Amino acid sequence: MPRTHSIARRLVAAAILWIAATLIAGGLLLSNLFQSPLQDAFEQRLSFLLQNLISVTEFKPDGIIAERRPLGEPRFLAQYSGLYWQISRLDEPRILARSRSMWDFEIAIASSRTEAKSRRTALEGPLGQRLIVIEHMVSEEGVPGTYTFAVAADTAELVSTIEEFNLTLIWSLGVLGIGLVMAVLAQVYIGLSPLKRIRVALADIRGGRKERLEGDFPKEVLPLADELNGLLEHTSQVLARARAHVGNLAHALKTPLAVLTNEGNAPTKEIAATVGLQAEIMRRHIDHHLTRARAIGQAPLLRSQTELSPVLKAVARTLGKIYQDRGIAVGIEGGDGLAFRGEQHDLEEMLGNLVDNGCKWARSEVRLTAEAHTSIGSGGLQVSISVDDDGPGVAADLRDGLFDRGHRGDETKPGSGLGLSIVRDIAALYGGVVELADSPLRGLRAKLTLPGAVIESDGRRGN
Amino acid sequence: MRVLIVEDDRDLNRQLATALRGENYIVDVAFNGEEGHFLGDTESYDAVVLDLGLPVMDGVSVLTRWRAESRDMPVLILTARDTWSEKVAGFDAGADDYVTKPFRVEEVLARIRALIRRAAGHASAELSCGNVRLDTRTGRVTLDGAQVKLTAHEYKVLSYLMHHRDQVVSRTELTEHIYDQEFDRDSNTIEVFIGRLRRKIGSNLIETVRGLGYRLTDPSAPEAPK
Repeated sequence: MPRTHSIARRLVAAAILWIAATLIAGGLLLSNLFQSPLQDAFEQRLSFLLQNLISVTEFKPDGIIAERRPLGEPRFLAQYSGLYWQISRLDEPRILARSRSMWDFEIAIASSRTEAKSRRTALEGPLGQRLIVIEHMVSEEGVPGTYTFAVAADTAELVSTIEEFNLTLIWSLGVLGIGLVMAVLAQVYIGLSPLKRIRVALADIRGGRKERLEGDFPKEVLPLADELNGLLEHTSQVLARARAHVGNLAHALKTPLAVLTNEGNAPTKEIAATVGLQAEIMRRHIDHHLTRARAIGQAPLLRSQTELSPVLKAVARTLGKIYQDRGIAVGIEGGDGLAFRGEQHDLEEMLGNLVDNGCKWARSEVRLTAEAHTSIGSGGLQVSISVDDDGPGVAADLRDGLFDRGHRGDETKPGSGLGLSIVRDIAALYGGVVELADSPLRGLRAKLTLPGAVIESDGRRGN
Repeated sequence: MRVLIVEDDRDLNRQLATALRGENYIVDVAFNGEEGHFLGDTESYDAVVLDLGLPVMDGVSVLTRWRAESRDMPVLILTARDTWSEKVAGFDAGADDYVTKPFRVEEVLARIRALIRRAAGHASAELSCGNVRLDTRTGRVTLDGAQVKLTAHEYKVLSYLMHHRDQVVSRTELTEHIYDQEFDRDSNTIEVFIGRLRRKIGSNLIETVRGLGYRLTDPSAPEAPK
């Protein structure tokens, strides 16, 4: 069977992709937006420090006096503090002055003269840090030579602030993402739950527990439910009409059949006998098809349950009465606390036919034995009712033939010959069977196996 | 013997009534359950043929009520659907035998005969008293093996007495079970029939119990249990 796609899976996959894409894009944007001003502020501060440096430096004919006024930045004084300044001469490359923080570190003097008055570069610091250096070329009126003023700062703090922000960003966006995905999952599954409800309702209908789709369905699904109910209604009407037709036909035929059966004005005895026999055959077929028509389209109601004992007793009583002239005793063993998972009139029909057969052939006794069985794999408890007679029995190779419609095992006994096939057909409706075997009473045993249940002592059903 | 037929199909009803009358039964008919129930309640019948699918009141209800009112005449039910549910319901309500439609009238007749016989406590289809034999299946009466010719009414009287052998049967009871309602029921005519019977089968068999009625009994046999 080809793998069918899942609406839910598609919705969820698409949502996850979209959420991931937007969160990633948003995260990058946010990170950038955060980073830029920080970086700008950093470099602006450096520029400010540089300007400051330039303004406090005095040019003297023999050299530079740096720091005419203090710079006011203590970090320039601590060794390897991460903030450095350097003044160097370009035309006669040499470092003229450096901040105390530089110690033995030197900023390389640019050898090539570039057009730009100021320059921004990255550099590795004395402790391996990444430094940003801002340099400015200066020449003073009346002072020979060109000079470069440079201020460098460690980006470590900047970097760590940014990294911290990024981490928090990733964290929160991650949590947000998970939350969104879960919301999507919930929405999808809750949103699709009416479909699941329809599936369950349909299963109920097929199982015979319900006849129509019931319940509140949302606007989008309601037309579907209504159409289904309409279809079910239509189907059951069609079935009811079909059943009614068959029933009407059968009943309409019964009266002419009765007249045919009894009409005494037949020209000869042979014709009368033939008419009688054919009428009897027609009656058998009518009864058989009436029974089958009743069963059309009716899923056996799984809810119905019939207690075995009362039915066994009623059938035994009835047949005992019918055959009292012959003195057949109909006995029952077992059955207490057991039930058949099906309708009472079906059980009566099956048992009636079997016990009637048994009584027809019995010498003096027919016994009904009811038992429960747990069966492997056929879904739940089963009950079996064995109908034994002490008659002549039937040879094993002839038993299958008894099930043929209309074929009576022995034409000497009255009856339609349809009995066993009717029992088999009704049992099949419930997934049950009827089997013939040797009987402990020496005659024939007909064993009927059906889905069953145990009735708890307080009336609850157990399976 | 008096039989009630409760059947709503007029053709079937007529068929049955004709057949039963042909066998020397007195027949009353009803076409719905209420009518039938009333008749069975108020009149005395030896047997009833009761259809289960009746209008107004269905057969099972009629039968249930009869049995509750201690009307215990034998009842033969006619089942339309031939389902065991119907039969079990009928028998649980108190039926004694059943026949499925469409049926052969002969079968109904045979079962009625058997029901009446059984109700009277006779196991065999042949009733006897002394050297008189009555075969309920054929309606033949023999005295020492030789056939005795009886009129319809004489047969009815003898048959009723035979079924209730050794019991005292009042004139009223005999009248009810011998005469159709249309006939003028004059209890003296019973005496005429009794007299004729005595002449035909021997006067020692039918005993007059003063003030109570008649009793068919074999004087030479040991005292039968009452």
